[in-house]
Amino acid sequence: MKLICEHLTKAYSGREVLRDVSLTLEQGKIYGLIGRNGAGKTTLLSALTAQIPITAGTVTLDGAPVWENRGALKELCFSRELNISSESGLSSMKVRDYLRYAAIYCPRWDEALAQRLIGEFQLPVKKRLGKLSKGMLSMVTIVAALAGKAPFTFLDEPVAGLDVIAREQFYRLLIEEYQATGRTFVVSTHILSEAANVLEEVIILRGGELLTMTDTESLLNSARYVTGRAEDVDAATAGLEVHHGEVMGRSKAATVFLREGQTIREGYDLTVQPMSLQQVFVALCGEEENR
Amino acid sequence: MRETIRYWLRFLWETAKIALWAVLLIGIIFLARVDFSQMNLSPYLLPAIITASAALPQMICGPGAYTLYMPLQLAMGETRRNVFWGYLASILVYALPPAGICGALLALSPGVPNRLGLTLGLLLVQLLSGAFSSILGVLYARFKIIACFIIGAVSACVGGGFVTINMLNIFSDKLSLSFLGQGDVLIVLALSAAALLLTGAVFTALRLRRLEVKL
Repeated sequence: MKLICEHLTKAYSGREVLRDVSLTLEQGKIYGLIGRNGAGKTTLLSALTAQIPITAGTVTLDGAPVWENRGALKELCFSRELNISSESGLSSMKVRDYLRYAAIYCPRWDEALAQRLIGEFQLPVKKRLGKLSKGMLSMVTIVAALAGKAPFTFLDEPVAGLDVIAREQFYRLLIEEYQATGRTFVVSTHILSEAANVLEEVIILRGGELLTMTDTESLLNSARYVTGRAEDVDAATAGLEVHHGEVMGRSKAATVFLREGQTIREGYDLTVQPMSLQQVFVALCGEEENR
Repeated sequence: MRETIRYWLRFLWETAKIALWAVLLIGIIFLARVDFSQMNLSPYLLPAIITASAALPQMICGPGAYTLYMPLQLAMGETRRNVFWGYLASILVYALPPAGICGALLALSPGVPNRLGLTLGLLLVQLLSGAFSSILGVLYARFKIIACFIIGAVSACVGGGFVTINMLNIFSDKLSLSFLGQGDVLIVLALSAAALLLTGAVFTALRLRRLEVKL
């Protein structure tokens, strides 16, 4: 099963928030969707799951359009941060009622798993959503997402508001569920330092466009943080893809992405270090401020 | 579609709870204001209370359907088409039990003329309320605070007035209910219900087509 979006564009009053995004999500992977605030992550997830109409492009699941297709939508689950303002009406709904509705619409709902997760997170099921903390609300959406057992599950900032122990719990449960079922998860998160170990592929959005979609390990293997004297750094990295160069007096630091077969020239007094996913993301997307 | 039916049955159950409270409230008002020594117990009394109690919560819960229940269904993966038909079906399904109960009460009451016409009229009142609430719901979802004033004013003058004033007149026995058995009144009710249902359906379809789920 593949979820494919081609030339996906979403505009509001002529302003494009997503522009010509094309990607393929395959079964049995954990994808990380990362981008700065306002890059279009939630809009992309909403468009992939037919929560919003799109301006142009197509979203298909095994060739069938997702829009207005209950058969396809049954295979997708979008779990997002709940809006408990009085306008949404959710604030007066109890946790157990919310999960009950989720159970109605998820044909593969696993009640035993839901109860287990409620116990692990110590969720007060009789409490109204409006009375829950931000972290507890995140837990409710996590329960709905994991117990729903949809083949493609999208989680929009699931760890928002969770303390560090709860975040570790979440990642552990995610891996457990992934190993047990082979479901596809797309996780949008800002806490890259923790998520990097879990994400098999990363999708990076920048300014509403798809910057890159690649294997996490390959991305990290190709990235190098080079520091040294400015002229040495420039000479060693000439012709290579250099991002985020910082000059500090006579020294310079740069992020370099090596393609297959490329290396940093030797013979210069440089420090070359591997990079974390967070550092790679800052190098790729932090340049927006300098544009 | 099966999930949508289960979902709206849940909505109807919650609406029915409000209706039961309305029965209690109207019953208390009635008991507090009526002079029992002067009152002839009319066979139309209980159907009137039931009809009013069932119609008014529909108008209260309509906005709730649009602000919460419909976006929630879409958030959980339902199609807009199923949400649309499900909501229209729920208006019909909600109208049937109170009309059925009123019909049964009228059937059991001796000397009531044109029971079928009366029951049909009460059913049409329910459908009118449901259709009216769908229009109010769209207005509320679209215009929020401004719509609250519109809903309050229009409900009081038209929706609530139509039902409440006639029911109050029935309570005081000033107005005979026999006019509801007249063919032309039924036609007026039926055409009004059809027109409002159609308008509500169009409003609902337009709203659902462009609705962006942000729950």
